[in-house]
Amino acid sequence: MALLQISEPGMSTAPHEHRLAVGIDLGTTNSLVASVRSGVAETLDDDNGQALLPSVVYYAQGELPEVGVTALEKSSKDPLNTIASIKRVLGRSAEDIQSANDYIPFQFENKIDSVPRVKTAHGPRTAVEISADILIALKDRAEKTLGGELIGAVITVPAYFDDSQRQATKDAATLAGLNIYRLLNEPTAAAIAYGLDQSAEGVIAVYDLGGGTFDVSILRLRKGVFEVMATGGDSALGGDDFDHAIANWAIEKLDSTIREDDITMRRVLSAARQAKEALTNQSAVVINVEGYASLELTQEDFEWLIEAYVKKTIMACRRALRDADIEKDDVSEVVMVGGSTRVPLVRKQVEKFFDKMPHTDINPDRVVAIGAAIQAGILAGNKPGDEMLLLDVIPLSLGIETMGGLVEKIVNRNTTIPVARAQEFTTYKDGQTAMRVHVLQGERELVSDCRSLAMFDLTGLPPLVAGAAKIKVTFQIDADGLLSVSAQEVNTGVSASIEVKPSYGLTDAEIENMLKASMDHAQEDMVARGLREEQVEADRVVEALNSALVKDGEALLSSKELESIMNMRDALIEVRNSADNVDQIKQAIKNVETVSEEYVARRMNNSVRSMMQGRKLEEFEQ
Amino acid sequence: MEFNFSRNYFELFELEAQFHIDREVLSNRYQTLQSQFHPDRFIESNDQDKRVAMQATTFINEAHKTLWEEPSRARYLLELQGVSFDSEQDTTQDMDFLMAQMSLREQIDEADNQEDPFETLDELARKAKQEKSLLMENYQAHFNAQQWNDAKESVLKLQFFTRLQQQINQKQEALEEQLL
Repeated sequence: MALLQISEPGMSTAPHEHRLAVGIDLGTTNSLVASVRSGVAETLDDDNGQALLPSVVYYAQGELPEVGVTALEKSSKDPLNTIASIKRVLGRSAEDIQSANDYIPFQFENKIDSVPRVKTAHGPRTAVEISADILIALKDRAEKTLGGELIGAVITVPAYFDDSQRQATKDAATLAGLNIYRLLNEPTAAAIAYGLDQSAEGVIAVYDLGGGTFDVSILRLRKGVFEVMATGGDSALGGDDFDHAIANWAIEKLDSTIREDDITMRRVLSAARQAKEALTNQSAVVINVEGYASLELTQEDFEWLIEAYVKKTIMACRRALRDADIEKDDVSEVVMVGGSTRVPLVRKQVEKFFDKMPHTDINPDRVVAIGAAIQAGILAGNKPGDEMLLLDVIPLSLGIETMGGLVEKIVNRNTTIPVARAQEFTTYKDGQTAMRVHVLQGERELVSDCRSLAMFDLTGLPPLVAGAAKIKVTFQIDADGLLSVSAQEVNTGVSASIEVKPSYGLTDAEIENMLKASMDHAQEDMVARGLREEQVEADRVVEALNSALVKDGEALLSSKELESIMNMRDALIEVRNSADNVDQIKQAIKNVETVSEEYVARRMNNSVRSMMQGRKLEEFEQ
Repeated sequence: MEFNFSRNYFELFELEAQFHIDREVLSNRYQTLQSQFHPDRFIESNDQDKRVAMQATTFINEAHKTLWEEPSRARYLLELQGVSFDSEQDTTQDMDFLMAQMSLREQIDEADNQEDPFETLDELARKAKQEKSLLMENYQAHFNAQQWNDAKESVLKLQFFTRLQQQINQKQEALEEQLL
């Protein structure tokens, strides 16, 4: 079990062994897997020599899911069981999806639920499960090509992905049985891919227009350290919008009832895509839809149709520059990523805005996967001398709800991660023992305009007069950009218990259920994860107890009481280090809690007393 | 792995504890520290080391951010001198200053009605920058003379300008969105 093989740095048992690590670009339209082989990062092909795996999954009753080209072929025959563009809804709530007002080419279960589920012949499937099916296909391809089991993977995400979208990506990887080293921003991956050939120092702008997402990142490269200065973009804007713009134009000209017919609708969309691709090096194209008259689309008309989208991307570039606090002239390189950057208008506008010829030498469909593979190789330790390091930022501001439905920002966007911020809350009613905290992500002032990330209750607060309890809530964002929250009552040192309920997205329990239901080794994974979580919990309990004992253990406890608490604590440490069973650790924690109950109560009383005294003194002074 | 969390931010980056710093040197030391302690360097280590790595880089990032920006650096220097700031209650009592701030804010709000809102906002940003550098000079004079309370007053005023700049940026973004 990989989780149990803990090796000290520099004590690797097989120093020359090449560890199989891959980079995965999980795209809206296509996905790729790449690896560093003989010092060169390259994408891995399937049996037919294709690197691109269409991000399409086909679910037929009683058969295993089909992924890729064969699934894509089913899309006109059985559209409702062929799921494409799932990335657009990954980590999103049913509400988000409705308000996005896009044409989503599949149907959701009607059941009102925090997690939208797509109707398929395999029953309702979440976006996480469907994405996991794509990842499994890539993993199988990589293991077959590389001839061994993968030890780790770097998966790329749009820089603009928020916490729930990142978490959902990670969940999909877990479900696919991948060990995730790091989630990497797509534009950063592209810059890494280019950084190989050109050891330039300077500011790089990465313009990434894919099928369903747009990102722009401003990076500074210096002495082997990539620093993300700013990112921006739109997680629901991409080449698919160009297709839809063409399709809508065609439908207006042909017959507006086409929209009600799924199969014809798909044909129009696929004709639209072909037209878009043809216009990369033609000035006009003829669109043919079976059963309807032909239409001619000129480059000029096409540019008119998509102009607003391209303008929007340029606006995001301007904003990213402002966030990075630099001028256009400071940008030394512009890198183009994503298949949609082949569209001539896009190239023209980007070149015009930055006043620079953008880099397009690496295949824009593969550059992200190649960069991810390089990063995976470095993290796996395959290039010991390599000093390259990536400093990433949080793409969206993080805040909490305050009075009146307003959001108070705690961490501003484009702050380098990892980062932690502590915020003190207080009670507003006498004897209040619980408090609700609402965490949001976004740039707007109103709660209703931001994305709700989590809502949790702080419970077990000491019942004091209003304003006397001080709860310090610490928000920690790790190197993957994922949030965790911890809370402590300042005066008593008692950690308040927090229940984090994701406002939507999958709960841990749901993921565990999926794990249970999926692969054979899911069971092992879960046990190991549960064990690790329980060990962390045990550490937390021991730490909290120790720090309390240092403060007032001797003052509040008789030597006999102190001894029995310490015995239980030592027993817990012993069990934590030796047990392979969650329940044993749970029991040991419980024992510690039981034996210290009286102690906790005395500490609480003590604090209430000192607080009341403090209050009288204050009043006296006035 | 070990990391000493008890150093102050200037010690961490081996800089003299003073207002004038060389940002280039700060950047270099920052990147050197990151290269040593970033969680990416401990991807296969045990959970304990991973946790320390995350805490260490969190600390390094916070230190860098604090020293990088002038208002936060000015404030931090005072805190090292034992001057405390209570963000809830501490604010300047200078009525003229507060009135001027209010007027600036109104001008931001009303930028929409101007002929060229973006030019209006740019002009306001320029004005804010000038006043900011005046305040910074005041701060340094007071700090050097160890007049902590006066130095603190300058820092409290500086914070208004940080917020003002944020407001200008937000307004610009809102206007840009309207254009689309």
